[in-house]
Amino acid sequence: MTSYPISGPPITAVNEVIALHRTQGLMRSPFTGTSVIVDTFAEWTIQLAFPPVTVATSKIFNAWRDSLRGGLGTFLYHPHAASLPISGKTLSGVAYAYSNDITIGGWSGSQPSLLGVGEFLSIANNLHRIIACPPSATSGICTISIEPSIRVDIASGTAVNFTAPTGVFRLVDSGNNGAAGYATSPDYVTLDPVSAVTAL
Amino acid sequence: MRPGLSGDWTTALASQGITTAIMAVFQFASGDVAIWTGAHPIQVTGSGDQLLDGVTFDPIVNGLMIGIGDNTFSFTGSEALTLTLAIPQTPTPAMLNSSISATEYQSRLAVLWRCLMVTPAGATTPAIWTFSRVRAGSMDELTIKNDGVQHTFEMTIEAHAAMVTAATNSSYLDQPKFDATDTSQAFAVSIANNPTAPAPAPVIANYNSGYGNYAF
Repeated sequence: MTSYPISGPPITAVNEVIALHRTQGLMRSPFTGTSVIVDTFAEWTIQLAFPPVTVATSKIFNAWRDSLRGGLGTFLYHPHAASLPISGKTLSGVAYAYSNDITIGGWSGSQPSLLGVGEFLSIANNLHRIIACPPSATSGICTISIEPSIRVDIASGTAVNFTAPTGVFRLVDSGNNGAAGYATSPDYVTLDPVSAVTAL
Repeated sequence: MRPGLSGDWTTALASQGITTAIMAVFQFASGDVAIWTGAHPIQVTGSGDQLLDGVTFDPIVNGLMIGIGDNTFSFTGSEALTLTLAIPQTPTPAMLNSSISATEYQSRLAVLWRCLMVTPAGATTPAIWTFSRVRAGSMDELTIKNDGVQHTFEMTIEAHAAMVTAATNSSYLDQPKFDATDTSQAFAVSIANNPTAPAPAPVIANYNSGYGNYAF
């Protein structure tokens, strides 16, 4: 019995496209051109391309792919090279749903935060990108801006993962997503790209 | 300003970016079900609406709202509004009961609100929403669909016609309810019952002129 989420693809991707997609509607006045945007939700999408692999490795990959049962199962994914040498940090207050700003504690005094814009973090396996952050903490606390916004209230004291930020994803569909096929060489197998979205 | 739009709404609209949701309460026989299309469970306080305050609305547990029909009405009447819920892996008691007996839902109240986030959440404050009723009506027709791709629970909500109340039995005697200074009907019952007080006007003289009786 597979227990979801399972771990990420057993092969390191050679190409990773990760993007934040927002579901929005635009209501535009035909008279003035001014618009009101209806902002509904945001989700990460990832597309992974893999190198040619040996037949033996492809079997392991196929087992991973099939165990996801198409879009039913979920897997954890850690974006490539997303890691900051920051550990032991927790939310210093409640992270409120729909908020783009969170407070994180665990630094000492005005210690350099080591945070950087564009870096990832995750809270309870929800992946976020840092949009704005201070160079150093204030009384041990950093208030940072993230995208996408928090979806559900998260309690104060919850750990914030900077070293290996991880999100939960599901396959977009079960078509040819990640299917294996033989290339000209019988020794190597090519793998179709894998497309996945955040499992909300 | 359009009727029903508060200052909060117009301010939010003026910001040219809005976050909206639809909220619904279904008063099933087996209990109230509260659903909304926001991302997280929310407990409403301070709205002044007794169907909202203290109620926790959940986006998932009671069924996932996946379709909201057109809320159309005019002076000639209103169309039924259809709400579509995705039936969860374990259907809720209300869904199960509704599929067996119409008494679970038929002619029972359902209310919908339009919600708008008027103050975005901050680092230390939760988001503030405003709520506006857009329909109150009776649940009427249930359709449970399973076409191999979707398994849905579709409920139609009749509005105005279904909400017309019984006759008010109002009469002219209710006139002071509409105009407190109008006492024109105050003695109507007394007069009809021919009381001694106030006394009828005294008859002073009676002439038989051939055209009938005249009292002066």
